[in-house]
Amino acid sequence: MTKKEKEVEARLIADLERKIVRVDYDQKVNPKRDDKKVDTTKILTLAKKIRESYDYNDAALDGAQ
Amino acid sequence: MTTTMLPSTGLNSVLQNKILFLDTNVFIGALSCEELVLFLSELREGGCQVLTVSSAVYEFTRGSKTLQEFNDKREFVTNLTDRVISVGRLLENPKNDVFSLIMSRMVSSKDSDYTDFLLATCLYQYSRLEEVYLMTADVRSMPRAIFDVVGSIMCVDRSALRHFVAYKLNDRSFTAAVKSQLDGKAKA
Repeated sequence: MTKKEKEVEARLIADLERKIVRVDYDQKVNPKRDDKKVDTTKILTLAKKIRESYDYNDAALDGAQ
Repeated sequence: MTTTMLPSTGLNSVLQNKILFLDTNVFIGALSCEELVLFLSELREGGCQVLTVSSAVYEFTRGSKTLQEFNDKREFVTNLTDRVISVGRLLENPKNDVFSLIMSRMVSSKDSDYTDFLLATCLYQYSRLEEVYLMTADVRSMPRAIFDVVGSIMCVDRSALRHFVAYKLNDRSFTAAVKSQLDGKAKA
């Protein structure tokens, strides 16, 4: 791979990284029990979107376990 | 979508203020079982820390055809859990070597995959801090010789009856397995 190709690849990877939603990875478990309010409506809305938008297939997903 | 939650076996009270790890199949089940989402949300609001590992996120998002699909699935996981634990250092912790050895003696590769092993390692590692549980739909993934089933829930959606089990590492059984290994009695 040439230097120019490596630069292009690095730029593409950086672009993609910016578009990927970040996940909060943390090795430690926080023992503090804050009063939490979970946005259940948002979770159910996302579940519905995934089921309806992406050829949701029970068998295929189960195979991904 | 209409779903029905069959009576849980007292799992709510068991998991109150504890740590619960979720296997990939729980996220899959939660896509179609609204009551499972409500159950997990109530647990979290009741003080239970709901966690998973990064390899489960990989399994759940695997096969995404677009960036949007990938992000939606990752967002689903992060909203359903309090935190995703990086598995990077789990195996590098020498304290987990004993557990790796015992697990390798007890499970076959057919019944347990790598994510199952990592989740089991989390139960071992974090059980030093507080009570830790694992929820999964796979009843074969954890060796019953060292893991106890502490409860289960069933959820009915349009296509299937889904059954989720909560496991906990049995410290006494694990210690016995270690002793057996040291005595050279463990089966290969």
